[in-house]
Amino acid sequence: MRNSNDDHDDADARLLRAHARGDPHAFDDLLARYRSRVLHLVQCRVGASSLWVEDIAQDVFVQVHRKAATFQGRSSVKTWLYAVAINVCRHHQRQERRAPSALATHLDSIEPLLPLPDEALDPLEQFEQQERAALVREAFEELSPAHRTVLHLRDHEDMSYDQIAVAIGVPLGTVRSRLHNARALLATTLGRRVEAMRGLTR
Amino acid sequence: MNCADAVERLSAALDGELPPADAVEVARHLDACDACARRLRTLQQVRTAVKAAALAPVAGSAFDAGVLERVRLERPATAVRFSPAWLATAAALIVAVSSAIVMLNDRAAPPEPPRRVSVPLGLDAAAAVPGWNEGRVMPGADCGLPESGPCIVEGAPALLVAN
Repeated sequence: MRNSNDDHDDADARLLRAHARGDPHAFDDLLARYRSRVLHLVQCRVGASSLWVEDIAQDVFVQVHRKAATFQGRSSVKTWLYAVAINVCRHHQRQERRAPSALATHLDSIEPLLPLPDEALDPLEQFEQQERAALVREAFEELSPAHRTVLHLRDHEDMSYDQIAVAIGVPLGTVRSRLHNARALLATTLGRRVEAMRGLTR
Repeated sequence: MNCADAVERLSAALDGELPPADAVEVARHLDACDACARRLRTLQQVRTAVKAAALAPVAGSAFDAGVLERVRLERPATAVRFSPAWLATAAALIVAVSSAIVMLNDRAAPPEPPRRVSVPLGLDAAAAVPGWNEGRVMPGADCGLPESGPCIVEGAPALLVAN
């Protein structure tokens, strides 16, 4: 059965192919559809405080403009475009460091599973929605780029594990363990922050 | 299934990304284990919180303008890729075109006018013109011209003027 995601994918693929054939308006439409999503993904990958977020995201679209003809339809345009974005981010990070660092290696390697806290985050639900969102964003920024990226692709972009694996170029098992760890770390960080806030207000 | 096995599958279970057999096992374990049920609840709360904290869409006319400007600047670089293969082809093409032009020029160029050389009548042309090794200049007889006029001998590289 077809769903709205399929329709989106078809429309994206038509736009990308039209652009590759030289349609002058197709690229503008793709830009409008993916501007925010690419900016958010780049922000997850390089950190919200980075001065380079917009510059890198623009570079992603320059690459998409240039490479549209190489899209072969093996994945959705969204997954393909995010893979381009992740590669541009990696390239940028390599250039910034000039040499692979321990952090860069860590980003793409399998990680041991972290314990999950067994205390529910009920106190978090007592905060006002805006306050809660601010708390979560701060805790999210404390995560590593790799953890932020998988969480974003799963919980904000609703991508399947398979799609995430293709987009970030890691095995399926790595997506699974990385999501587990991202959530475990976020639960711990959030729990700590919530306790600190409650301590201040008591 | 023990707690360690269940814990490493909880996040994927929440996302509906477990193989069906694993999902059944995890559900069975959760029925019997309060600690893992609490862990799953924590994961659910984290997921709800993350979803709720999604970033707002970005309005981006300045962003789009920046992209389009970079694409415009990039265009010449895209048209001409200086790969070694490209350079070799371009060099071969330039050589071929210039040779063709030189050849066409050679063909189209008007023949150089024959040199005028004064030679006594009856002289063997080879004596007067270097490289000339056949024919003899004869007064009027061969070319029907007055004795003092030029007499063109067929195949001669020079115009022999009899005197």
